[in-house]
Amino acid sequence: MGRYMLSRSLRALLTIFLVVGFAFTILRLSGDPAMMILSADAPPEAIAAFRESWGLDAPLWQQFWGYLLNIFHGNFGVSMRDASPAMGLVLEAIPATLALALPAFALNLLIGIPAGIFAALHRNSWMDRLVMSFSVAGHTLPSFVLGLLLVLIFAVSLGWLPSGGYSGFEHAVLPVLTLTVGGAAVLARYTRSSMLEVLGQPYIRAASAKGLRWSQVVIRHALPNAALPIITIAGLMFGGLIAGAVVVESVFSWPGVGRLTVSAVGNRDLAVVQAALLLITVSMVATNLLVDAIYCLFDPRLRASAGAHQ
Amino acid sequence: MTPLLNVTGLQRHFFVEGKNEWLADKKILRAVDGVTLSVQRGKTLGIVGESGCGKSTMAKLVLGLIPATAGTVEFDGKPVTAQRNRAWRAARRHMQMVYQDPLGALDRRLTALEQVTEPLLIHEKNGEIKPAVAAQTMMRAVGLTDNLFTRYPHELSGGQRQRVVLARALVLKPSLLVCDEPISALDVSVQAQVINLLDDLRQQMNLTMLFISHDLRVVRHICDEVAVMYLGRIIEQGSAKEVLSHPAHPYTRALISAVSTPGAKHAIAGSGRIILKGEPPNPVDIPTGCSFHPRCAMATAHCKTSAPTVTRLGESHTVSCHLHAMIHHGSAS
Repeated sequence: MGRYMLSRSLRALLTIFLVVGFAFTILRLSGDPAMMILSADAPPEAIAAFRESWGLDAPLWQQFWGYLLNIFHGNFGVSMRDASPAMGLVLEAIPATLALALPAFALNLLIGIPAGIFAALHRNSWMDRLVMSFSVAGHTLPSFVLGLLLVLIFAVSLGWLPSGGYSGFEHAVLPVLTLTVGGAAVLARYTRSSMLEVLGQPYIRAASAKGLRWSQVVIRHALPNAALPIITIAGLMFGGLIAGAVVVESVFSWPGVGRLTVSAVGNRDLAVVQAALLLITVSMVATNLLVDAIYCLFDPRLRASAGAHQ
Repeated sequence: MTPLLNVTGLQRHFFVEGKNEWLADKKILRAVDGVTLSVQRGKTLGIVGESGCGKSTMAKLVLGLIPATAGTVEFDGKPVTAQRNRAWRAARRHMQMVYQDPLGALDRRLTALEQVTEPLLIHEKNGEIKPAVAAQTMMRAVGLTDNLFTRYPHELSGGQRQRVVLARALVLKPSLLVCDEPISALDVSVQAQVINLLDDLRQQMNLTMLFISHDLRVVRHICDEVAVMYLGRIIEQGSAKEVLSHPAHPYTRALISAVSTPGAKHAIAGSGRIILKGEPPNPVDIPTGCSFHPRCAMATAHCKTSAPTVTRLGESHTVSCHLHAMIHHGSAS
């Protein structure tokens, strides 16, 4: 278990390094921040001065080396727009993102998993078809369409809820709802298929033939075995939500990490994009590590093989 | 003496989708189509036949794991239903099953000991002996050593897994054990061990067994009686010795001649190896008359149109074949 997690952690560090390096290179190759920030009409001397002051005239590898050194000193650079610390900007956006992510994730789990289990246990009945129809609809409807639809209905027509902004509970309702519909639909589908696979296994029939009550068969044998793929999906989903729901935050003008990243990319505000990406990567990787740890708890085969073979 | 297990006119039909699902093109698959048999207490009945002839469906029907379309199963004088109520669950302790694929039949998240203990926790919560202790005793009885108790299914060999399945089935001391191809997933060297173990245990525990197999050598070794199934019906039935040495049905003769026996030229004196033509017919489309006639080398025009009835040949030997007199006489001489 310890060794297993150690190797996972080392791999996680490598992942972070690769993402940071990739983002750094792509950002510098895909457009000139000097042009974006100073406008294309700026005199060449001004552009040259801008490049020099931000260190953009040095070779790429030198820039990257400097960037890495700075990170290890806790210096993530400053925004090219207003010279405020980049990481500070990102960290300021995190509470807003969490305010959407945490309730949305909780609702995803609370709705998606029971709905999937229910559908699997009533396979091919009208209830199963109903749940799965909703799930397909929620899964396929893009979040910007759903978000705008919800705004149209609840903000414009009915006037019950605000269409955007970030100042209180009622502002969070529509974005959380948008995130929940898609997420719960995905979880319901995975839960259903995972449950159906497990329910078809001979050991489920065997458990029933031992004389266990059906509810006990489901709780003791089916659910724990069906949990593994669901944990994977839920973990990925959580990482995604922490990274900021880019589209939903933009639709509802929600000042979270996602919206910050989008506007920083548009502005070629390199330090802010890099800081945001670093944070997103770290949270994704951390979630995956957590999932690996949870896996060990659920699957004795992993625990054993990690001890025996590594 | 009343038999422990009494099956009368048992049928199980499945609906299968035809080619066109919009036109409700449903067809009936007759997996088990009118089976009557009985097993005396302490005896072992072997059910043999090719894959797809309905053997495994029989096992599930007998245990009440799936409902029958028609017919009855009586166990110890009481009807077996597939209604999963309290009585059904309580009856589980008297009738247990050993599965074809031991790895699939075990919950991969539980240790061997936990698997064997579970039935006791369900049925004997207030027993005199602690469930874990009783489970360990049973596991030693099936030849599992103490160091294997805490292993997970994937850490055991195929033979060890099947011993765990066997211990789990026997720990409640059932009176009926249904074995559905218990050795077909095992290596040949392990097959013999498991069969000998089963043979010993059934004598020690006075088990009644329904032994489903396609391996005639094993059936000859372990069974008191044999029923030969073809397309959901029993075509020949009787004491193992009688049926296997004097087979009366052409299909039984073909099965026996297919067994390779070292040393002996052929199991049935004077007969060459009979090779059946083609595959067994689709059970959705059972041939008219005698269902075996398309593959039978001796089939006459009569066989194509009229289904044979059950004929009694001896005290415990029945066959469904128009030509039995000729064949039975031929093989006996």
